[in-house]
Amino acid sequence: METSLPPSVIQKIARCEGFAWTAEAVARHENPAALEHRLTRHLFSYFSPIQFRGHRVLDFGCGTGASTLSLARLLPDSAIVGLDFDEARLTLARSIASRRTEARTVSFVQSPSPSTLPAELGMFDYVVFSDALHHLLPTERRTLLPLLWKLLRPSGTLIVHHSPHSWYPIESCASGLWLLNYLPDRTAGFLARWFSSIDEEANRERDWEDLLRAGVRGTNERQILDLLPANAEVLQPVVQHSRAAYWREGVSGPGWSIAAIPASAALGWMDRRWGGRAGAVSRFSRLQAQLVAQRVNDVVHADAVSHRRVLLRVLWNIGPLPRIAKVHVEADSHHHTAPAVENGAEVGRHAAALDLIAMHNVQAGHAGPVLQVVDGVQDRVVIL
Amino acid sequence: MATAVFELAPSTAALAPPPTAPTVYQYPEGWLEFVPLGAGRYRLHVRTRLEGAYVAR
Repeated sequence: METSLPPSVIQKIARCEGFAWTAEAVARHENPAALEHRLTRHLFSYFSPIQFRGHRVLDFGCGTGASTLSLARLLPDSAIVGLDFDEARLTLARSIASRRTEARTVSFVQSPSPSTLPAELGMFDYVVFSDALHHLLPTERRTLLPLLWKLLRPSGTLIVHHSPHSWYPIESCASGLWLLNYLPDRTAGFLARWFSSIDEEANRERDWEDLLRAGVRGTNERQILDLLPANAEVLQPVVQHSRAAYWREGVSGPGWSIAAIPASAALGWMDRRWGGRAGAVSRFSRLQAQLVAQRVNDVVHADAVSHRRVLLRVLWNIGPLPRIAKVHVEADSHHHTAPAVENGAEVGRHAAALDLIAMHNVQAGHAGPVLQVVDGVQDRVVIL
Repeated sequence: MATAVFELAPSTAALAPPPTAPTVYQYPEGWLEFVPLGAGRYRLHVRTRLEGAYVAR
């Protein structure tokens, strides 16, 4: 991996993030494919860049500032505030930002504790969790999500980007273990400590709280909705979404595809049941969908997957669609998956993340939906 | 070009100045290798020591 960060900064990153995550952390700063492309795709599949102009954006859990600086590059006319409680990471974020020209719209603020927000933070139009929500302890999630919701201006949007989905058959962030997501905490903690395929050595030293902090418990749409006031609703995606696809896409390798069939069917049923709130077919007007999808199309890296295969998936998972004019598929490698294999190159077998949930803060009298879910599926389907 | 190797304790402060030749900083948890490319850029290799073996990251 090539980097413009000096060795002194990279050594600090290694100390902050741990050696196992150093390449990942540097790649998030240096390799647009590691974070920025994904963020571009997801943000602009919901919103036009114009909608961010002149607005304040909070990057919650900014860490060393990779997501904050990416947001600053993508949204040069917005004020971006990076917030974290870890002083070492924030110091590093400021140090890296001082070398970047795009950081002129960026400021970093430290939280007094993991479960509180600084006073005088101000109101925001967008609150973004990029790869962050799953690192909060359950108590912190219960406390912080409502607090952050209150910081949203009317029609503001909460965006949860790239958190592991807790319904996914593989816990892909902290342990890499199958079915861990469905086990009680005590059992999950034991298995994660002794049988992890990610961060094996570190996990042996971790207690349950450390494992939670490492992201062993992901999140899902229901969990987030339950923590927000009743005015939070699912904003329907432009990009099609199917929970069943989480399972199917994550299941690879001999034998496992058999497990995918019942799992996918069960999740497909949930999609249909809750589809009105968290997935399924877009309610956007066709024109709006076309406009946004066109923008997505500009940044999507279409992979060589046959349209026929995609079409089958769409029909199987999502059901009849108004009209499929064009289908794009992208292979979205996922950094949470198991040991990376080449120097800093992103590799991944499973895409387990809940890539984007965007929630508008719907005020009384303001009609409209508003939690938006884009999948964490390797193959994303964009309907133009 | 010869590669310089430095063995460091985990708490060792960052080294300065930036290397001008391929340099390895070795820690108990793994090592970082920097190959200068010029214009302030480096090729970075990270190796993590995992149960006695180094795993490329």
